[in-house]
Amino acid sequence: MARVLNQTTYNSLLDSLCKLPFRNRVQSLQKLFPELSVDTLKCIVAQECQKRMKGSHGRLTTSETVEAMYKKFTNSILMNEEPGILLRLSDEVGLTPALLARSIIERHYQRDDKSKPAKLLVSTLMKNTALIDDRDLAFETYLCLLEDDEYGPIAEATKQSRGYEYEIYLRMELENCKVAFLHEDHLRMKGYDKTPDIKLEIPVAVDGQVINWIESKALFGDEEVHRGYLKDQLYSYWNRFGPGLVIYWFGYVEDLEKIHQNRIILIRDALPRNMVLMDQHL
Amino acid sequence: MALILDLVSGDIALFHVFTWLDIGSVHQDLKELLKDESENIRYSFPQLLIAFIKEQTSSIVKLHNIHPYELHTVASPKRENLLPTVNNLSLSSPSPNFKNNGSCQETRKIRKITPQRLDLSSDSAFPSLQQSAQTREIPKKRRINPTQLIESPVTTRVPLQFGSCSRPSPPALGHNAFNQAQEQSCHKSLDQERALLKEKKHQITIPTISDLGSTAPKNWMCVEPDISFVTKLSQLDRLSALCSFCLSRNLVPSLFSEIQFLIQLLVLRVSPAKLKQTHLVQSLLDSVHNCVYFSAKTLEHLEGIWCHVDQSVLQQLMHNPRLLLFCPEWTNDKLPKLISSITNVDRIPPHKTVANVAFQTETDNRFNFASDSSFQVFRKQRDQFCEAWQIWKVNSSIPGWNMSIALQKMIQSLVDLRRDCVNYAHLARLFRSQLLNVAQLVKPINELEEPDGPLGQLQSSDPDKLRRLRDRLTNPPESRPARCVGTENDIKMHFEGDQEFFRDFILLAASPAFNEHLKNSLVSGIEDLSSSEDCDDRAQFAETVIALQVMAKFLGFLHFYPHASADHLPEHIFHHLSRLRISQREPIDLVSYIKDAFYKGRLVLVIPWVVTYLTLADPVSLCLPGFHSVLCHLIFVYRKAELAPANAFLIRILLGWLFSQSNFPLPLLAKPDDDLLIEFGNLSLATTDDQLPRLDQSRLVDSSLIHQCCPFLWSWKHLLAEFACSDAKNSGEKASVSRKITPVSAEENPSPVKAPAVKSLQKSLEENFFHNQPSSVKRTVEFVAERLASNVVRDVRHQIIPRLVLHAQATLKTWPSTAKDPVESLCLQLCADVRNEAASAATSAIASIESTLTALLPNDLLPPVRRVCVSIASKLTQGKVLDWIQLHVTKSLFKNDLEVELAKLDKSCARRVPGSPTASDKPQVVHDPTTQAPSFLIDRLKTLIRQVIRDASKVSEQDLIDLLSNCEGTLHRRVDVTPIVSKCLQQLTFDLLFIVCVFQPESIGSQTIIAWVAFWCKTYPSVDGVETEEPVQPPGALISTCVWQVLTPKQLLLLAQSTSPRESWNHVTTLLLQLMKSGLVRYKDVQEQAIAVVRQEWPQELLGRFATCVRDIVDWHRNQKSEPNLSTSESCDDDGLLSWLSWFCAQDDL
Repeated sequence: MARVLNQTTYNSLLDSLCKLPFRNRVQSLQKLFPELSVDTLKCIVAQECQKRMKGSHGRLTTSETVEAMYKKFTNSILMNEEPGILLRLSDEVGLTPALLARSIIERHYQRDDKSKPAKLLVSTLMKNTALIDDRDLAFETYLCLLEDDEYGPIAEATKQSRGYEYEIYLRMELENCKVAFLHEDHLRMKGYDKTPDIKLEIPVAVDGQVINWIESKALFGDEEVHRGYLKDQLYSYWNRFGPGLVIYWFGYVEDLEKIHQNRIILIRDALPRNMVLMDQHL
Repeated sequence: MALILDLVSGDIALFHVFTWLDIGSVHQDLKELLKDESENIRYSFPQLLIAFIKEQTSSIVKLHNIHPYELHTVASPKRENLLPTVNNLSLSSPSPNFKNNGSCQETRKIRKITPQRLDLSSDSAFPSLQQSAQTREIPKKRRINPTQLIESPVTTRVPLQFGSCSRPSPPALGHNAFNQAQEQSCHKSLDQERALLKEKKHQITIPTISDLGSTAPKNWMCVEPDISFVTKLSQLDRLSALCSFCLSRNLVPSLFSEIQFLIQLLVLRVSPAKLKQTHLVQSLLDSVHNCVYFSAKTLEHLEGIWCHVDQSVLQQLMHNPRLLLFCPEWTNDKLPKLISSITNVDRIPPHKTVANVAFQTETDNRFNFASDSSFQVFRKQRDQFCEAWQIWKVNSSIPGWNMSIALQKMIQSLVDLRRDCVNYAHLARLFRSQLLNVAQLVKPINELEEPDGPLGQLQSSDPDKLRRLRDRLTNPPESRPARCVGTENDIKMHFEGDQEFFRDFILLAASPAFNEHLKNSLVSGIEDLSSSEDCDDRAQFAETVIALQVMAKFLGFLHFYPHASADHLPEHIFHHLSRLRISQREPIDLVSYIKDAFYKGRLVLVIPWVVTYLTLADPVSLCLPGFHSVLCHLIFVYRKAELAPANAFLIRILLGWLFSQSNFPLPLLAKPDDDLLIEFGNLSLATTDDQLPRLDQSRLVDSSLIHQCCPFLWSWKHLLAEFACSDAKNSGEKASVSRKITPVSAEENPSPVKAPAVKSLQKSLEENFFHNQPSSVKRTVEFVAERLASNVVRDVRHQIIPRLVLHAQATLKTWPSTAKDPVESLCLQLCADVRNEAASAATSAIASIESTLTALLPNDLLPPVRRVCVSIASKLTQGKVLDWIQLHVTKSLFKNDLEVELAKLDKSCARRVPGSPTASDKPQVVHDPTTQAPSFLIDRLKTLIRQVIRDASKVSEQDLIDLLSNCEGTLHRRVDVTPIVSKCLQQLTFDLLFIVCVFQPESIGSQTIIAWVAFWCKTYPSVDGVETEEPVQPPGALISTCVWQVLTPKQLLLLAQSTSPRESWNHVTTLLLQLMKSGLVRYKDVQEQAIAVVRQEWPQELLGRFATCVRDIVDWHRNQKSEPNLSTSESCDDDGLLSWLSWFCAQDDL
């Protein structure tokens, strides 16, 4: 199953994605692009959703719109509508279910002066909906969290876990390959200002290129994502440790390497099998 | 003049002259000639000789034909750093040297430098090549400029200045070759020019001759030298012998210029027509034949020089048709042998593949900063600096790109991001490291000269094109990108290639603070490298020399830039400025460096950078008294230093180059040795106990390093090459006239004499011990001690301190709150602990010294000697560790950590997630990759819950049992479970179990419930007393945030949807009871939950079941209480409230 896409495929994938309704988009895409790995598709869908939310979240959660949505919600409760009220509202306004639920909770727990409640309270309630005093809101919120793969405590935990799982996986693979390295925790302890996931204490070569560090990313590397990482992390590593490697475990768009210009940072979707280690024979 | 003429035409044995010049003893025969002035003349004799030769050749040389093309051409490669280019000089104004002989104050003119950076591979760098092909036939306006024809050889020929300035007899001034030339050119004026023009016009139509080796003289319209036409052979031979003697004994001030001049004579081209028109003054060298003969003979005798120059220069000599004719033996036999004997080992440091400045924990990590914010800011500064450099790399060759527009803001903000000495110092260090990195990356200069390179090919296929190319490079058309900062009128010191970035960075940053730190950094870098011990390897040595030159160049730039001026300074202003600067200090004490290097045999390392530094000096500087001493030292070194041949050649060619700078105070060059010796001070200082290896006698220098340090040497080759290539007689442009900026110097700093400290007997014993051992013994001992101590310190920093601090933070919790100042006393305790542990760490490190030293010290050391070494090393190590502890292990080291922890404790005794396993809590886990990944498990649970609620899909009891074991595996046998994930799994598993109890009571039995509760109990043990201390919650009245919420409104709502409520309630009651039994849920929690429930309205049926459930709980609780051995703090709780609730809810009429 392919995880590395060329720009054309990726563009047509994004095109189809835009035309699909919000639910079950992965399954629909699977039919359109059977040759692509499901994980890659999931990742692309999730990233598209996050991009969309980044663009519209602020606009959709002004106090007026939230007030209107809250009214609608309380009305629906009064009308004894079927459970799934927030889910339907979510489809209607275009906020993801978890984000919508959060806004409604914030409104529900608003302070006397109409200001938002403490963030800690809201996130505690989101994590454990059983603590919400309003039984309907609690249940509706819970349904929303179950539906949302991008936002909400469960989705966040999944994402975080996935990142960490791949990091640990990478460490183990490297250990298997007998590569000597320091990982993030070591580096932080030693007072490094920038800490790649893996800093190779003895460099290795991949496809004829020496690398000094490896960064693991459990997501799909499109240009926007990659540029963001270059700016915040990868170039900083390059500045300090020289050429390195970034692994997008869920694939990437081809030819991203060309935006690095003369700074060599390899991109792969797995730990290369053909690493050349330094000769340590006498 | 007469003296030399007499010498040359007389019959005194030249041997006597040589002896006189060498040691000053005057032979009887010479006495008459010299009269009483033997000593006066001795030091100026070589300059007189040069002046004589130039006078003799002046009339013929000025007839030398310059191809119109050549007027602006510079016959030199582009990537050279120090190479002067003709467009740097003003062609229209004659060099001041010739107007004001001897007055060095009038002789300076600052070059305006147009930054040039050549990228041959880039099309954009040569945008107008095609155009030039089209416009080939159309003469450009600069091609013919008759007035310049006369002047250009005058303005560009520098060597004369030596002769003209130091000539002792006033009448000679009137006969100065160049004064004469100018006068004559005025007289002859128009007629002459017209004739010249005609001739030029004729020449232009002559087709290009591309065959290099061809000696087809007929087409060339110039007098071909012929050995049979040479007159006054014996006199020429004597003159040549004198000249080559002076050259090879370093008696002339600038070896470089004189050889340059000889080569110019060799390639002299005079058209027969012109020769006829001109009336030549009778002299020794009044014909092309004589000149070429003289030049060839002299060049032939300079064997000591040719073995140090690049092979390609020798190739040019070997193939020179005139040399073939005049010195067949040399060109056919000796030169080929010489060429083959030079092993062409490429010693220029190989291209480095690493282009970044590596992060080094020793110098760059958090411990090297005074505060977190300083550290964080520098992280940004580092990245921005690298970014600016990258942007420049990518864009600098793009036409129209302007660095100041693109980067000024960025550079200014990054440099002054934090006005703090630590940040400036770090930034300066980064700047320096990047600069050195780039300097080593620069391609070797002769790369352009390689026959296989694009330029090399061009040289053979179309030399004319190559010349035009070069022309374009030195005279950039308007379309060239204006990358340099500021306006055209700005003074730019000459920087090439990537170094431009660094110069412009300094200019754009315009930060005095940064400049100061950068100066310090460069000075200390020079200091370090100058005393570098790692020079035994040739490549390493070359790298060091180049690094020193680059640092010196930038130091010179920082120091002299404020004094540069684009204008010619009038005398009164000049004097005013020099008065102002009379006591100015140099940033670096050159005199002591030179003196030191002289005595320690390290001139070959020091002279190159000193010269580089001085060539950046402004005109005023060189005339400051502080510089007098520096320059005298250099002249002394030039005359007297004894080095291995190649080393000697390198420093003499460099010094000669410096001496030939237009601003150099010439009278100094005629000073007798004795005067210079006074400047040099007491020679007795020489014997200092020093461990540094002597370099001057080592074979470290080869021709490629020489050419890299002295790029101007390529002009020899280009003179020859252009002679060989040109279509007509070109070769004109005596290229590379050095008109650089002049040196400066500060007051000589008296070298600080340290008061001899009172040494203990032991100390002097130790000193003597090392003194009598090979120097490597001391170095090894010190090195081992240094490294061991550094390891111990590292251990203390990274292991011992963090461990003790962590421990202290833990004890802070149990510290009695009544204690007055817990942090203070803990800090004291910590200091003592750290000191103790560090001391024992040092002791254990010392244990390894013996074996280490045994392996490193010479094998033949006597065992007792070795033992002494071990004990000294141990002592040193311990001392260093103790020093560090004294300095760093103080209360303030811990204060911050503890206060932060205390603040945390005050804020919330524990916000820790109950039971969430953290890395430190968990015992070492062996990762089991066969278990399910946490993210997968979360996903699975989530999907299951959704399906049960939404789609009512069935979950079997077996599914639940499998899930349990999966969860167990994931949570207990994996290392990649984060606290958040663990917490999330806790919530999801509980949710699932509860939902199955509610929606599918038939698929679950009490055993399963019990098993799950047992699992939770094990995985998420409840931390007693934690939940009761919840911070004050905002309205909304959350009392307990624990996961195990059974009787909350949401759960009741779910229960209300159950299709078989009785079974569901039974299971839920079992679940709640189990949770209580295992201590996960307390009786008090149930009370609170129940109260929250009855605040809302519920269907009566639900309330009834709720009442039953609550009653079961109360019953269980009563039984608990009756068992005395199980009495807990809870047992005193009142059951009344819940009993009442249960009764209340069971009422039908509610």
